[in-house]
Amino acid sequence: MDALARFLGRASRLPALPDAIIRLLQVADNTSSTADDLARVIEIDSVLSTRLLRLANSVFYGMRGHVSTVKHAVVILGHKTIRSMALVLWTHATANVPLEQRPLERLQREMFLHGLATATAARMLASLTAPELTEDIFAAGLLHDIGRVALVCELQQAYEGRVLRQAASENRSPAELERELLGFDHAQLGAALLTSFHLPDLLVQVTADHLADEISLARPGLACVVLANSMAAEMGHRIAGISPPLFTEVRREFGLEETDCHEAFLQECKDRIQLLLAELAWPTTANAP
Amino acid sequence: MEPLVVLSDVHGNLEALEAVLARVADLGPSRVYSLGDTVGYGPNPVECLRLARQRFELLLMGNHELGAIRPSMFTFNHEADVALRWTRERLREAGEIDGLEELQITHLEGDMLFAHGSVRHPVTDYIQETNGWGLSTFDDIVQQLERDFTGFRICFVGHNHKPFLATREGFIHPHEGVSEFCVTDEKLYVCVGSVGQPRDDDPRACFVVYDGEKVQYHRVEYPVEQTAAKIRAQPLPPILAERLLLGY
Repeated sequence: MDALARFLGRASRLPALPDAIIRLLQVADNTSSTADDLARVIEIDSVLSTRLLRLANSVFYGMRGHVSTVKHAVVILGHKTIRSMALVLWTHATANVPLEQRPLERLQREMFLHGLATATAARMLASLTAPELTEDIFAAGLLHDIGRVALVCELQQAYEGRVLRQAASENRSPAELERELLGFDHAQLGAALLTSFHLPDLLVQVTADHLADEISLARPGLACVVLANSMAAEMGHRIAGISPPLFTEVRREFGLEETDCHEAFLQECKDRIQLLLAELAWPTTANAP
Repeated sequence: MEPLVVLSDVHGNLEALEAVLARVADLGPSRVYSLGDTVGYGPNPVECLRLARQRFELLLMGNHELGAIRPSMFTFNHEADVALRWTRERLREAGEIDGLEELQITHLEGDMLFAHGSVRHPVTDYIQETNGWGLSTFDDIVQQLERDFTGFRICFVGHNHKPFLATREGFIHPHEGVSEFCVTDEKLYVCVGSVGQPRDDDPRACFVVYDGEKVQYHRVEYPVEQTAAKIRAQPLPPILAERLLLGY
């Protein structure tokens, strides 16, 4: 865990996608924007969400470990603080970073879409099993791979070559290769990051355990996110072509065992993602500028 | 600790200062510290300075007081320069100019440092969120907090006329929903805003109360039209009246 602790210090400053920040600045600059408008732009991006949840859970607001959704964070932080944070992220992502040192934007976009697809599917699954936790589970879905975002930002091409490509060519799990290379995997790193940011337990635990081989509805948050992670890959939002297990048994428990139900569920999920992206004028493919 | 009122940048605005002192009397704290710029811009520098000497336990030197006693030391913008020349004459007539020499530059008390500008230059430096290129100054602030905050943990400043906390987590602004912040154990700047010339798009006078654990921002309405009318009645730049009405 020493390796993890050493990495943690460097990885606490995650760069967001520049266009995500620009959209946030545009909405924040408009004085007639509402808290809902701000939340809509923030909550589709895992890095923006993590940064604002971190601030809302900081000691200053006296709510450590209690703010789990972006909507709640927006209400607590207010317009000016969010705009200021967007400017900090913009400065970190672009102005102070030479082009050759910026993270791999294509992979960042893949992770953005994977996070959004997982969050959207997790929210739909949560509405079937744990409706009271719908928004918390959406946030957990969005943040589950935050450790991978940190790894890509820190290791860049080395992560793509020595973890993702090697995993695909050897048919091994990326997490296994991460542990070989670094001594920890992205789930452990993500959970350690979220813990250091004092985020609520649900978000930390789901992130820590999202690589589980077995899941059950006894932990609805984890079950929704792990299954959603699998569904995101089915919808085409996989990282470097890697697909997680299908969890057929658990799908049955959600009432999605029939092919028709399953297809309809995925289609609705895709439609919701498209709608979200279209509303925010986001490019809908990983390679779009 | 006993609650402490910290305010700054009264800038000769007697109506705002009296409204703030009335609110302080309602709230209860007896100690009031001022971080400087009691004079400059506004129409009642002498009255504000005298009231400040009478009511404040600490009165620091701001760049406008320093400009009044050392005119050649600074280059002010046109409006500030015109106002400062006028202010200097009013203070001289009232016999108040020499007393400005005695104002403290900083005050250290427990883990608190009080200054007008910043740790790096207590009178003239600004704590700002962005630099001249519109980029965030966050990294510079974090560097200051980590390297320069030794022997104290929390630094109260004015000068920028804006209420916010500059912390290692980011810049934190009070708003209608949340105006109280826990500040235990963290190094930070507390920018207390301005009593007499707020510049955060809110014309109400601003000050903070600190009780050793929490910083609470307060906003107070005052008859700003009255102050603006007084400015217009003097040979002061009319823009100084307009900006009070809008808070910029």
